[in-house]
Amino acid sequence: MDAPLLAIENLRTYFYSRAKRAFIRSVDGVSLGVTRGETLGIVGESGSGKSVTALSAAGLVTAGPGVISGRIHLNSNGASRNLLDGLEKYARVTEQDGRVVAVEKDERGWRRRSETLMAGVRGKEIAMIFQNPRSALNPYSTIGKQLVETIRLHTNLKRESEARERAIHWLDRVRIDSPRLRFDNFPFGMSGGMCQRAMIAMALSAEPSLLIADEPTTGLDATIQSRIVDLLAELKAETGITTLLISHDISVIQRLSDRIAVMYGGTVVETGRAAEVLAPEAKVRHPYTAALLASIPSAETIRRKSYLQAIEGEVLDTIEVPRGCRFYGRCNRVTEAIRENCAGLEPPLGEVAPGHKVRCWLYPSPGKA
Amino acid sequence: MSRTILEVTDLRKDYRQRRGLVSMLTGQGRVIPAVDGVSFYLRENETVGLVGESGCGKTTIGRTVLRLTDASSGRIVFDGRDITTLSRAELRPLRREMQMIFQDLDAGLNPEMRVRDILREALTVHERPSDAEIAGRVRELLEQVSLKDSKLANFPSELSGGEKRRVGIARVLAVRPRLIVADEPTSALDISIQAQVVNLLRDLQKNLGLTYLFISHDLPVVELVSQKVAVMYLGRIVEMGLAERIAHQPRHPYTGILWSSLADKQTTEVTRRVTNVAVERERRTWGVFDFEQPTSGCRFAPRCPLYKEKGRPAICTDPASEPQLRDVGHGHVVACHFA
Repeated sequence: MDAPLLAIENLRTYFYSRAKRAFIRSVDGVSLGVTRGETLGIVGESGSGKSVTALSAAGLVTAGPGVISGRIHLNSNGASRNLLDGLEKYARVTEQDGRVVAVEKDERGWRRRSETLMAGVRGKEIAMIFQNPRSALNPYSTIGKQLVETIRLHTNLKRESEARERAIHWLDRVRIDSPRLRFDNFPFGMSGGMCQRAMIAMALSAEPSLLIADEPTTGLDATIQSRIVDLLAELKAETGITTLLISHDISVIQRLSDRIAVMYGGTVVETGRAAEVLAPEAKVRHPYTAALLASIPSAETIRRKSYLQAIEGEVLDTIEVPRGCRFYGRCNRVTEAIRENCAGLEPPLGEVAPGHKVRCWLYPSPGKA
Repeated sequence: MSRTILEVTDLRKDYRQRRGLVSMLTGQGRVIPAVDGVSFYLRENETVGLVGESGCGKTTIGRTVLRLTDASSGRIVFDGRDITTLSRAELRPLRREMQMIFQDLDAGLNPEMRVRDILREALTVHERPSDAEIAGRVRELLEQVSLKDSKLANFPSELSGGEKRRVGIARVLAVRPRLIVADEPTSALDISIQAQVVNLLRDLQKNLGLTYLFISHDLPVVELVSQKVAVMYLGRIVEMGLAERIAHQPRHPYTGILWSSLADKQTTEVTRRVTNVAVERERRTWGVFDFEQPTSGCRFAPRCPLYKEKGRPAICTDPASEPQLRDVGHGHVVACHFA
């Protein structure tokens, strides 16, 4: 099999929270691979580290200390490069009892090296669309101008007129009505859904190898959301673009992803083919994934007007990471047989079926446990 | 049958567009009817869900019925008393009976105050209880919203989203309200926390006999918590009836589309509800919706699949015949010429 287009290995990204006077282990040892042509959906609640994983891959983490260690391999255009190559020497972490107490990072050295590695990658090889399209667009420039700029910068269409035709082509491809007229619109004159379409056009017009879509439908109206999802599904079928999709909305993830990764407390707790992980009848499933699915009102719940199965407790803040499983405090499936493990030892991400991995002591993987 | 606690008749709320680029170019300020002739009622201890896209006027209704903003016309009767034009002083004793839970988790939580002081303040707005009474009530409130004692010393910034929501609810409960307008009470929360809050709101209703106007765009949650649902489109109620009928046997094409836009995102059991192929096809092709676009007749006609399917009947765009809500049986009303 082909090497994955993007392979993230053991990524750690930490932030310092002034309010809490502590380091937050936002992404804490994440490994993920995105194969060419597939859509990998990362689902999780806020604070699970899903967006930060994506931002780290795009080299867009600005708050400190930021990315600490790991490898991000990008295999595109026949070249393989590690976007974090040689950066580890710039950061050192001191840890005590599950708490990060100090991070020494040579911010300038890191940045200089990182910018060299990211040159020609961000925007070109890796394009991103964000949650709030209006704020990602330049309010002082028409969407046409912004598209032309992207096209001239990242593709070999350098002539204004060619780039303009290509821009109109992209506006048309994202199903914007009368693209020639819309070309001269400013972002403020357009609805949120339309801005998101323009944003998608801009991201794809650079002809990237990887599209990172970070909560592309959040904040839009229900009917508009579903049409943006339709559009992404159609564009995926037409262009075969490799996508890393981030969403807290399981239903969006379900519709667009080939494979999914469920994140909790800065780690991946379950990963596998979307159809398998989210199948209603799935028997093997991380308790957190199961609880997430159960907290959405089902037709049955509504009909019987019964209580929602809420996950007790609060989302882990990843400042003080427990010694055992990160979900232990909220888990309702701990049995006496495994309690000791759950409380004291972080479970490995074990393979329960080909390509399906679960980080849970309920499913000890042979040879590893 | 329980009695009516809130009755709203032909409510209107116009917003005048402020001077800006648009009004400069068109040369005049425009009047936007955010709520355009809405009538409904709430019975004691019942929940009415209000759904629709953003900009349709849901929140404006919530704010207007509580007199947080003044109605342009219409009548609001709370507990048998017309409150539409009461003065601030006359309203004051009524304020405690009608409260609002805001979408914003930080609303009403002074960042400079500890949880204990936030609750104390809420308890002393309308009354002068003794310190012992306050302490007792604070304990009771914490219990009602399942919040730990240890949180009393925290500032809002030290709380998680779910805890902030609980404090916000406790603050509202402090004045012992009867009617609560819950404006998107769960949409700022994580999925796992949303379920906790929905359960909490339902428990509180049962235990305290509360009445909710539940504003949300989360249709499954609305269907779960509400006895009745009103669907709004561009300032008007286009369909209203029992929750299960609105969700499963919608008569207005817009309601069908709202639920179908959810369906293909949701589980397969919901998907089965969508049988109307025309609705499905239309949903993919309709143009981006512009609520400032002037329409005459039925305001949904420009987006309506039924309108196209029926060969664009003249009645739908006739300025003289905007469809009115009419009874289609089982307390179900719908504003469509073809429903």
